[in-house]
Amino acid sequence: MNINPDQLRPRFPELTRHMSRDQQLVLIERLDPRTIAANECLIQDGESCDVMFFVWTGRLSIVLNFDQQDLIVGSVGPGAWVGEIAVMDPGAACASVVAAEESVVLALTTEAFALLEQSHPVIASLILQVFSKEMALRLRASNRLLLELMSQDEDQQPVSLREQDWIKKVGGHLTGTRG
Amino acid sequence: MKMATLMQFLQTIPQFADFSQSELATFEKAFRVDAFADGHVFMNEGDYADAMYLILEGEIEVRRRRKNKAGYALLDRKHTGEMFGLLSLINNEKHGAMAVAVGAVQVASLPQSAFELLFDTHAPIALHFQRLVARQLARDLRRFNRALRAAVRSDEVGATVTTFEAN
Repeated sequence: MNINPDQLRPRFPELTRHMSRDQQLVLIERLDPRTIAANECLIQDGESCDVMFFVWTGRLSIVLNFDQQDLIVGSVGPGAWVGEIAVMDPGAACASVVAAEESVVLALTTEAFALLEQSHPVIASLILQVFSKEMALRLRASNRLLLELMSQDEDQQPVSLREQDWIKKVGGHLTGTRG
Repeated sequence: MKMATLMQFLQTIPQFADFSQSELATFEKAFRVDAFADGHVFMNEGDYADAMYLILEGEIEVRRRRKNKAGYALLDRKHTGEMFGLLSLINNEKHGAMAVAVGAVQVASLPQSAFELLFDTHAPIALHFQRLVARQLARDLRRFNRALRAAVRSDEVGATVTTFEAN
């Protein structure tokens, strides 16, 4: 699968906003396009993860695994990315990411990003700034979400968390997921 | 804490392992070290950011005022070697929470102007600093995600957030 900057830029405008065409070409070289079948798992809840995925086509579900039960807490589509936390700070995933339909993703491993930092520090710097701004926004939104939850608890009759609307927002906060 | 001691401290933190001696020296010059008593408020909800902080010794709590009710929610605790005050600086917004010293603390502060110089440029030291910031944010998010996950598992908000009355 061949991707060029003319395709990459409109798909990921924030990521490529300050990148020249040549810089985008370098980034494309580091990305590994993968076709994922429906129901295939990209990231397994609780397992070590050292790769992130940019969604090119299709849709990915964010799933929490509880005992025998899977709880879908959100989904992301083209232009979104999942798992940047793993690239910034490798560790166990906080949720599973499963293809809701056949999808094409661009994988970026921790190792590939580390090599990019050495060979093309300006490109790595631009990516780090975008990721940091995104994570900062998500942390702030997470704080707000918690406060909303608390006020609901105080003002309303107790309702199962898993039955409330807010559960749909959780997917945007797990495993480096946005969108 | 004297400047030379700050350098020694930075060398003991794994996050600074990638930094060269000259880069650490640049950090030493950019940071200001101060000691604060229990209860000191580093930032208030609604204030604009003017600095970020690195905890050299002690603990701080990140709190947020509860809606329609007295008191605060405890959102996070940060310890030696961790940074706080990043969110508002990165996105140039008002603080969404307050940060308070729990016991005596010693922190190194980096003024907004120095932060922007390090965060928005592409010099080698900037790349290391950006990685430091991104790693801290990733860890904060990971911690939050785990707490949120625990709340869903136990099916109650109390598993995620501690509340307490205002003094």
